Amino acid sequence: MRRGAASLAFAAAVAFAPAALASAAGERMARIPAGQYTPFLRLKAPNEASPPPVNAIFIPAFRLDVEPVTDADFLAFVTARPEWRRSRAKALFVDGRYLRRWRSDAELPDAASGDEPVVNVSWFAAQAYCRARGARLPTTEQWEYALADAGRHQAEVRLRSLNWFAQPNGERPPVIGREPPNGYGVADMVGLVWEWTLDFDAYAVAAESRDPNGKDSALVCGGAAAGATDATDYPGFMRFSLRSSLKASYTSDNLGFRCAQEAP
Amino acid sequence: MTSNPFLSRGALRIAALAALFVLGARAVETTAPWPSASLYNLGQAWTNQDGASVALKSLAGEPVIAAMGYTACKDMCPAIVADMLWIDKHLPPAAVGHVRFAFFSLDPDADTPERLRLYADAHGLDLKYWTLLRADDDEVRELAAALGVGYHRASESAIDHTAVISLIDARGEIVAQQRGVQADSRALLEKLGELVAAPR
Repeated sequence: MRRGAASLAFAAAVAFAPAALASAAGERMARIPAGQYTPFLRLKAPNEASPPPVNAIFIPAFRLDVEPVTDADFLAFVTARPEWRRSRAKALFVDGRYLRRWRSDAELPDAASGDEPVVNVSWFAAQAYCRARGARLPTTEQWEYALADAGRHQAEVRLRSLNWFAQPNGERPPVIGREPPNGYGVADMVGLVWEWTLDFDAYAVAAESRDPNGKDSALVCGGAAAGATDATDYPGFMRFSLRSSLKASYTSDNLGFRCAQEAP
Repeated sequence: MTSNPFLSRGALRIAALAALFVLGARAVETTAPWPSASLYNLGQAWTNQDGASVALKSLAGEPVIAAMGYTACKDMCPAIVADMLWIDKHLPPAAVGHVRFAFFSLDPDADTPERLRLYADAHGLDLKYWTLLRADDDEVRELAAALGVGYHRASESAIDHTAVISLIDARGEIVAQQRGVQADSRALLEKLGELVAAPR
């Protein structure tokens, strides 16, 4: 049966026209309009008593997947790209827990898991998936900007985040599509899985880069409150600290991703 | 098909997506002599300070001391290069002439081969053993991920990044890393001594 699906995929690879497929995959993306975004973290330069005022940065329009990439989506990817199957992926790219819940190289845990966000994927695997679609992972700024949703319903989003943190991890992530999309048309950014960003490890180290002695980091735990635009944004702290704890080959039971693309 | 409702519903969608991925596939390396964790599994090509295309794996064969930075960087990167030069000057005798030094640019826009060569001249880097390299954004991002270098563009002219000097063995595996600048390089040199002492 599953071999049947794989050969169907292969036949499809020969039969389908790439342009039609590209637009089919594109239908699941939302266009995020350009706008201003105030970064969550602000950095204190060495030899300065306090961080500079936070300047909003300009985010050009881009496209972002409406939902996290699912197990079914990722199965299609490893079917077409055998080098990303669990048994073949290089240790450079994935750790030992890569796709660990799958029953085998090309078998999902069960019938219901197709609509669950794919987890236990490394940054390399996530980025390879997105590249194969002509996309890439969103930058941290793009991801946070999409979640900020131009300020709509932010108290509710934070509350949903806090409730999610308060719950123990389930055996598996909830399926996608339970919550309505936000004002940009993007859904399930909180409550299902943590998500990779293109530059996930860029922020923990930013202050170190400006201060070679590393004594003045605004981002280490103790100094973080001084460096945040909004010290009450606990979910924001959680996201930034989780991201900065990751390594690119790392995988985890509640870490997934979605893809982004330049807006046409 | 009833035994697997997901596949009966989802097979066509998977087929369509799989087709998309196959059609987008790049040529995959057919020969894979590298260890599973080797950096040389990255099928990358960079451009050196002479404008020549250099396959990443062409660095294989001898240990490499590698770091990432960019030439317009004011304090951090000169410090990284200074640390690499210190290592160069303190090589174990057996390693002299058998170690390569590679500086990978984080700034594809500004760091042209000409800029890289000027930077090498300004820092007195011996191009017999040193290579300065640039590539496009995707390659830079991927290599940075593999070397554990976090970075993002903080402004037009500034890229925030970590200082990481990696010791890579002859087959592309990272055997030691030092983080931060003006760090103690003795542990890295010790590892290097072991590498050059081991039978090759």
